[in-house]
Amino acid sequence: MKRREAIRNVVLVSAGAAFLYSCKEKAASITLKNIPITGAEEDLLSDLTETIIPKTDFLGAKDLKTGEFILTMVDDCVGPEEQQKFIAGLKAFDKAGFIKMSPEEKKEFIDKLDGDVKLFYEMVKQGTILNFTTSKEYLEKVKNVTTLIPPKFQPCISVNA
Amino acid sequence: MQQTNTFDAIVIGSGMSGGWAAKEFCDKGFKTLLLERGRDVKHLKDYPTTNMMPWEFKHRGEVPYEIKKDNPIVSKCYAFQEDAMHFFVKDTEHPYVQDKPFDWIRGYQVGGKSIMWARQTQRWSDYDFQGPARDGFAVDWPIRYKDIDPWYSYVEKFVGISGNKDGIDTLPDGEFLPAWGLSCIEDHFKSAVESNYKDRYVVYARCAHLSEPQPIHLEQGRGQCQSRNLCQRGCPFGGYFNSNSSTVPWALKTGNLTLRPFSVVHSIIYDEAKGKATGVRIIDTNTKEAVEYFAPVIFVNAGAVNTNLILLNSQSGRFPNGLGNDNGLLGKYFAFHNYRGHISAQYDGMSDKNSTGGRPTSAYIPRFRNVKKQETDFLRGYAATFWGGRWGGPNTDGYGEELKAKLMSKEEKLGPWFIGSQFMGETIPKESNFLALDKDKKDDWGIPLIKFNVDYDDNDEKMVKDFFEQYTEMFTKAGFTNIKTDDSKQAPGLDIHEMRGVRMGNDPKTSLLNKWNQMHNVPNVFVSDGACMTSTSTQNPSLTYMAITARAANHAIDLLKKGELK
Repeated sequence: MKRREAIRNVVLVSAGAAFLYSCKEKAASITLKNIPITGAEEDLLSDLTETIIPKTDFLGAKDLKTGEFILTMVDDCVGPEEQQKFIAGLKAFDKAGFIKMSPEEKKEFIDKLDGDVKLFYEMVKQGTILNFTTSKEYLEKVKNVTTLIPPKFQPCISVNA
Repeated sequence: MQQTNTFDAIVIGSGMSGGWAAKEFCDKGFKTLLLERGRDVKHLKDYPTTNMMPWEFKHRGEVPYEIKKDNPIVSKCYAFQEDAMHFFVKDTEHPYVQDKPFDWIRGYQVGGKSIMWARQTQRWSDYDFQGPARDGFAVDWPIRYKDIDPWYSYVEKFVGISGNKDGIDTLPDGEFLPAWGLSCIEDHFKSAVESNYKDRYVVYARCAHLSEPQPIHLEQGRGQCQSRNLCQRGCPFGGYFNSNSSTVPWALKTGNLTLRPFSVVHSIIYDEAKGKATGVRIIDTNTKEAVEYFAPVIFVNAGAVNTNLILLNSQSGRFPNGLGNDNGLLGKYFAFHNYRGHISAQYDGMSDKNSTGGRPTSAYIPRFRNVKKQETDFLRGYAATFWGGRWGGPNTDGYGEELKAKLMSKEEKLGPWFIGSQFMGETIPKESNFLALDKDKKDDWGIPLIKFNVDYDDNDEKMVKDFFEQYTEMFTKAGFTNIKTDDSKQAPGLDIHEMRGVRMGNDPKTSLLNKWNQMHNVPNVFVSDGACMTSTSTQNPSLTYMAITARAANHAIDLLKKGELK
């Protein structure tokens, strides 16, 4: 897991879309220091993460509060320029009405992404995978990791080539 | 007042070497004051992240942007991550002056950097101790391998070193606990190297981990290393050595130790009438109050740079340029290890093999350049680590149920072997590399800031180039492909092997310390941390600091017993 790369791969939607914050809108569920996100945008982000890792017979991205995790990471761990690009990318998804699209429309929309909006999507995807693969539920139930102690060192085992 | 401030010995610094000095004095019944500029860190109790699972870290290990932005130097350190950043000094907390860039990585707390060290423990050989004399740089070491050999054994038994007896004259064997062993890619490289070169070896890198704790380790309250490889957090098992789990609590248990954290040493007090140092002046970092402590013997183990700083700032009528500094060499010939070279590759062979599980070390290639005779156009040489592994993570293409199915799959599709080697080059000490006190700037305690003038030279450049050439050849002979060299060009300091400035030597005209680490001009002041080194060689230096300190402390104890230090 290349955390740094996940963060660095960020982004980068052209800062074209102006951001207008309206305090009448539903507020985000978590307090953010640097990125003004509305509740609606948070819902959109959660929807996108769930599109990336949907609920099946095992938890999906929403169950793991992935939107909140990504917002925390973007708020705390990337610089202001990248944060602006993140917001712009989110706006572009919003403008396209992503949350109301059918699964087929979403697929078509994602498959056609390019440029900075695609990079924004990749950033959300990396964050979604990171949150999923480092979650308690995934590590314990899928990877059988219940302790920080790794299995015994085996210098040379046979595996399928 | 003076009564309660008087001890048999004062040790400045509770890190790797200071912990050893304190332990030795306390073990032999001497009332010892151990001064630490930072806070106390108690084993187990003060390792807040030690048992945290990945999901418990708010940023999954990442250091927040603001912290990185405000602290660009410490942020370069590989171990400065969310799980251990509380053990590192932030740039903003303790500034210093860089006439030339120097990445000074520090840990101001009881245990110092011994909490976060890389735990590699290779001995020096006589090829190292004889280096300056043979090659005509620095001054001759006043000791040889035979002088330090028993002290290596002495500290190795207490510390606990996992290793193999390799029988190589460039890398003497020690007192070893069992080795975890080499992985198959390391074994493959070992065979390739040793069959192609008669004087090059690949060995299991010796490390300060309890692979099989002995009674002496259990007595310290330490136990079996679990190979978590999360040592930088502090270990809940005491599986690796640090001062906090070993020397400091051991010394406290004797009842002879007074541990005083939050104590920045301002200077060593020199009494001209008595012709010796009588104590130290500290500033309590909480109260800002100056306090003096007295003892017949003082060990300076503040970490190489701060040891130089304390001595330079210990000015008196007799020593206007710093304690014991008649020859003007204090702070000069400062050196470090050249860590710029890294080489990586891929191996498509052995695709039916893998190594799994945890192991706290890797492989090590001792220096082979210019060992028995001068053979290149640069002096000395380099050692290197070697590791390899196969990545079995899932393909993360796509999204939706397709992606999730791949993440949920129990089957791993292993990629090829990825291989890496990090070099560690000896640097040649020179007068133009020096530390000095800044004339104007002072820290919060009124102590002048230290100023760095340290840089690479042509010898270092040639050595990086040679490393790339030789390792490319060795990797090629091993069948590795996609070989990539990387010269990080990083500033000196990030190696965290800063050394010298108060070098040992036989002659008071050209050195500051004698063969017992006593200052030539102030024999009741001993320096036995990295500052004392006459040359740097190519090994991770902590083991040598510990051995030199144990030897020096026991010499001081002999002198105290004979009444020669009063």
